[in-house]
Amino acid sequence: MTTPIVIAHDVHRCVDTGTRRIEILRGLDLVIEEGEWVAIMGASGSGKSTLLHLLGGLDLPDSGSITVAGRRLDQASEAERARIRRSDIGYVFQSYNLLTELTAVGNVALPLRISGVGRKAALARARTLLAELGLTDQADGSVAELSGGEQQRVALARAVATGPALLLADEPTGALDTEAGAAVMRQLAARNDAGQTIAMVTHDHRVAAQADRILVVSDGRFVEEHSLLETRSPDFTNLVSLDGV
Amino acid sequence: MKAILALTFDQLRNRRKGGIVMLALVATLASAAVVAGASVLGNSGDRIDEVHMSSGQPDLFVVGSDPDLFHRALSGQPEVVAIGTPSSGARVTIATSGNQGVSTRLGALDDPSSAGVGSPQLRSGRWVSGPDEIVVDAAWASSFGVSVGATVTVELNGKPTDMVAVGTAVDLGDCFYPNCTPVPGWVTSATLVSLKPDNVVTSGFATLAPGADDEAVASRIVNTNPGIHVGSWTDTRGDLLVTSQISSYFVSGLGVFVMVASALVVASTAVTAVVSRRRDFALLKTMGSTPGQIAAAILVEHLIVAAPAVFVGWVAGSFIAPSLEIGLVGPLGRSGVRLDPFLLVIALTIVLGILAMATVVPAARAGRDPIVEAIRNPPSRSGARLQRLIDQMPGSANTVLGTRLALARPARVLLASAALALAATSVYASWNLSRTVDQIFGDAALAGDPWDITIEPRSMSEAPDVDSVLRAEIGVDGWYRERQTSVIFDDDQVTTFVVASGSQVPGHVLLEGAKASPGQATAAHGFLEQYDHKIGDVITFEFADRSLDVELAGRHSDAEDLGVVLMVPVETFREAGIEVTLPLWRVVVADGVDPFDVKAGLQQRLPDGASVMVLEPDVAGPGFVTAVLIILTVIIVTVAAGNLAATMASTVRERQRRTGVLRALGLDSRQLLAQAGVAGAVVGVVAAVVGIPLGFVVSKAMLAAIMDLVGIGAGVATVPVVVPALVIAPICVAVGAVVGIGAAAPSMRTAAVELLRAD
Ligand SMILES: Nc1ncnc2c1ncn2[C@@H]1O[C@H](COP(=O)(O)OP(=O)(O)OP(=O)(O)O)[C@@H](O)[C@H]1O
Ligand SMILES: [Mg+2]
Repeated sequence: MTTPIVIAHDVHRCVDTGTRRIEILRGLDLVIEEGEWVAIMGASGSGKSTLLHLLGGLDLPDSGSITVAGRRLDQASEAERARIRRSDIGYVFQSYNLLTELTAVGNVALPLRISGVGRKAALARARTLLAELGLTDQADGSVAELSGGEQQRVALARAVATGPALLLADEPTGALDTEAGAAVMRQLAARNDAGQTIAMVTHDHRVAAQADRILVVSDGRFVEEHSLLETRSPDFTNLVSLDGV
Repeated sequence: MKAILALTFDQLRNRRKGGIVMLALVATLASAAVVAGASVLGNSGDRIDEVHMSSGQPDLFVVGSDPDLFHRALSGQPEVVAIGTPSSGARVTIATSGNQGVSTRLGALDDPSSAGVGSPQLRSGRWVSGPDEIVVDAAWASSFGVSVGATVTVELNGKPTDMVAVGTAVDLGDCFYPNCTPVPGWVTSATLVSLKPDNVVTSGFATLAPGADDEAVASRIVNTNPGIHVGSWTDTRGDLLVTSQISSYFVSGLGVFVMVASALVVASTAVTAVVSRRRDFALLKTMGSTPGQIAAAILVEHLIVAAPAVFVGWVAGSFIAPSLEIGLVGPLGRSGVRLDPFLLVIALTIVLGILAMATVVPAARAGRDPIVEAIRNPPSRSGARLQRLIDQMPGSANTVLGTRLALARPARVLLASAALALAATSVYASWNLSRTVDQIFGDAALAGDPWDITIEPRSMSEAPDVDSVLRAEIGVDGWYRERQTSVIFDDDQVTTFVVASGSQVPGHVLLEGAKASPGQATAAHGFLEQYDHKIGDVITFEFADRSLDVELAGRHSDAEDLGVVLMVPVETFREAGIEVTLPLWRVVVADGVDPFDVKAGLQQRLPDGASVMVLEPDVAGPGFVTAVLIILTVIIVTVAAGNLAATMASTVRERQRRTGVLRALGLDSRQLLAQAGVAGAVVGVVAAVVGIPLGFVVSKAMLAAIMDLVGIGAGVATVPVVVPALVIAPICVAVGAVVGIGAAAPSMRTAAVELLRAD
C-alpha cells in the first residue's frame, strides 16, 4: 500500500477576533489516500475553508501535524511551504481568483513560469490544458470577459498545470448555476479518473455524491464519514439534513 | 451641498490615514516652499532698509584725502540735505590669531551718537573708550567667529598692534564682508594717532533730498573732484542684497520644482484615492448619489485636508525664511519671523489651485464611471494593453510579474515616476550647480583677482626698487601694475581697472574677444548687460575732465561690482594725453608656494612702509548655495520618495488578493518582494530617463542665470554630464526598488489566508 497523500493528526486552529476567541478546529484527524476524491461538508462556519487553507499550506495549525505528499507543512518554514504549494498543491477557489490583467492562457501558464518553466513551454502546456477543458477559443481573451463557469475551468486548468499531488477545491461550483457547475464537475471527475487526488469542500450533496468519500465537519472535528456506497444508502437523507445545522 | 458634505465626511472617515497624511504633507511642503521663497527677498530688502533708516538714511559715502576736500566735494551739491560728521581714518589690516588679515578702513570715532548721518550701528558690546580698544565689523566678526573680548591684531606698515574687540558694529559705507572689502573698524582718535599712519583719509556720509538720484550725484562729485571716492546707497544696497537675491533665486527656482513635484504627487494621490475607492463610489451610486455629488465630495475632501496643511506650511515657511537671508544673518543676526497674511493668501491660491486641478480629472472620472464596470473593477484598458505587451517580454517570471505590477495602473506610475524624475532633476541640478559654483567662487581669477599678493609702496619713486625686489624673489611667478579708479559712463560711476599692458602675468580670464590694445578696453559681463553693449562697440567715457572714445575689444571675467567694470590699458589713457600712475603691484606666486612666506620675504626687502597684502580667499564661497540646494533637494526627494512609497503601497494594497493568489500558487515572500523591487525599479528607470536630461537643461539654465547675476556671464562654467548621470541613474533605480520592496513588505507578514480574504 502506498503512503497517503494527506495525513492530518489532532489539528487545532483557533482565531482571536479581539472580542472573542473561536476554536474552529478541535483535534481534527484526516487521511486521504493517493487517487482518492474526498468531499468535505458541514454547516456554514464549521471550519471547512479553514481546513482547506491548512491543507494548502496557506495557514498554520496551532497544534497537530499536517503532512502533504510526505512533507510536514506544520514544521515547514514559509519559504518551504511556498515551494510545497508550488510543486505539490493546486488550489481552486469559489471566486476563481484569476489575475484579471492576464489572458486565460497567461493565467494557466503562471504557475509553470513560477516553477521555472520557460515562457514558450509554459504557454504551450497551458494551451493544451485549456483545450482539454474546452476553452481553446477563450485562451487569448481577457479573463474578465469570461463567464463564471469558464473562469472556474481556467482556474482548474491553472491549479493542475504543474501536476500537483493534491488538488484542493473550496466550493468550486458554489458560484455557478447547475449547468456550469456540472461542466466543472465533469472536469474534476476526469482528473480524478486520471489519478488526481482531490479534496473538495461543498454544500451541495449532489456535488458531494460524486466523491469517493464524504466527510462532515462539526464542532471542529469530522463527525461523520460516508463511503461512496454509504452515500447511496437511505442514511444519506440524514446527511442532507445536516446542511441546516 | 449638505449631501456633498455628508458624503465628504463619510469618505474622510473611511479613507486610509496614509493617504490623508501624504496629501497634508505635500500641501505643507509646497506651501512652505512658496512662502519661504517669497519671503526671503522681501524680508532682506526690508531689513537693509531698516538699518538704512536707523542710521539716518545715508545716501552717499564719501572718502577724501582731507576734511577740506570732503566738505568742498559735498558743499556745492544742491541735493545734499544732511552731512554726517566726517572721521579720519587709515587703511590697515586686521586679523584674529591664525587667520589671514583683512583689509580695513580704520576710522577714529570717539562718540558714535555725534556722528549723525551714517553713524555706525552697534550690534554687540560697547563703544571704544580707551587705548588699544577696537569695535570691529559685525560681518567680519561673524565670518571669523570673533566675539566681544577677543584680541585682534591690527597691522599698519608691517607693524602689528594687539587690540581688544570691545564691540561689533556695521555701517553702510559698503556691502558686508566677505562680498566687499575693506571692512570698517573703529578706534578712538587717540588710538588712531598712536598707530602713526602715513596717509590719513577723511570719510563720512551724506543724505540727499527725497527722490534725488544718488548715483548721478555721486558721478558728478567724482567728476568734479579728482581724488575723491563716492559710494552711492543704490549701488551698495544692490550689492548688499545680491547674496539674498541668489539665495531667493534658488529657493524660488527650486520652489517651482517643489510645486511641480507636489502637483504630480497630489495628482497621483488623488488618482490613487479615487481608483482605490472605485467600488465604494459605484455602490454609493447604486444607492442614489449623483456623479456630480461624488466628484464634488472628492474635491471638497481634498480641500478640507489641504487647507490646514497650507496654513501649517505658511507658518513653517515663515520660520525658515530668516535662515535663508544668507548674506545678512552674520552681520545683522537672524531677523524676526514675520507671518505675512498676503503670503498665506498666495500660498492658498497656488496650492489649492494646483490641488483642485489635480483632483478634478480623477474626481470627474469617478463620477462618470459606469457602475457595473466599477463594481467588477477590471483593469484599465490601456493597462491591459501594456500588460499584453509585457507578457511578450523575455526574462524571468519575477521580472515579468514585477514590471506588470509597476504598470498595472499606468497613469499612476507615470505620475509617481514624474515626481521622482523631478527629484532626480533637482539632485542632478544641485550637483552640477554646487560643483560649478564651487569652481567659480574658488577661482579668484574668475572673480577678477588673478593675483595672490598686492604691494603698495609708500611713494611712486620707489617703483624701481619694488620691481627689482620682485625680480629677485624666487617664489614670484610674475606681476602686473594696476590702479583701481572709476570713470563716468552714461552719468554713472563705473569701477575701472587701469592696467599695464603687455605684463608677463597671464592675468585676467578673457571669455570673449581679444585682450585690449592701446585705444581699447575690455568689459565684464555686468557692464555689457547693464548698458546693452557688445564686443566691438566704441564707448565714450569721461575721466579727469576728458572724454575718451574706446573700443571694447573683449569680455573678461570679473565679479567686482556685479561685473559692471571696465579694464583699460594704461596706454589707452596715455594716447589721449592722460598720464595715470599705477600704484599697485599685483603679484602672482609660483604654484605650491605659500603666499604668506613670499609676503614675509618681500616685507624684509621692500622699502620701508610698503604695504604687502595677501589676497583673502572668498570665504563667502558657495557654502550657502550648497546649503540651500541640499535642503531643497532633500525636501523634493522626500516628497517624491514618499509619494512613490504611497503609490506603491496603494497599488500593493489594491492587489492584496492578487498577492494572496500568487502565494497560493507557490510564490514565496522573497519572490514577491523581488517583484515589488522590480516594480519600483521600473519606476526608477523611467524617472532617470526623464529626470536626468531634464536636470541637464535646468542646470544649464540656472547656471546661466547665476553667472548673469554675479556679472561674469557665459563662457566659464560647463555642466558635467557623464559622471553625475552615472551616479544618479543607479541611485534612482535603487530608490525605486527599495521603496517598492518597502511598500510590499507589510503584506508579506500577513498570512496568505488574510490576503485572500481581502478585497
Ligand atoms: N481570520 C479570521 N478571523 C476571525 N474569524 C475567522 C477567521 N477565519 C475564520 N474565522 C471564523 O472561523 C469560522 C470558520 O470559518 P470557515 O471560513 O472555515 O468556515 P466554512 O466552514 O468555510 O464556512 P462557509 O461554509 O460559510 O464557507 C467562522 O466562524 C469564521 O467566522
Ligand atoms: Mg468556506
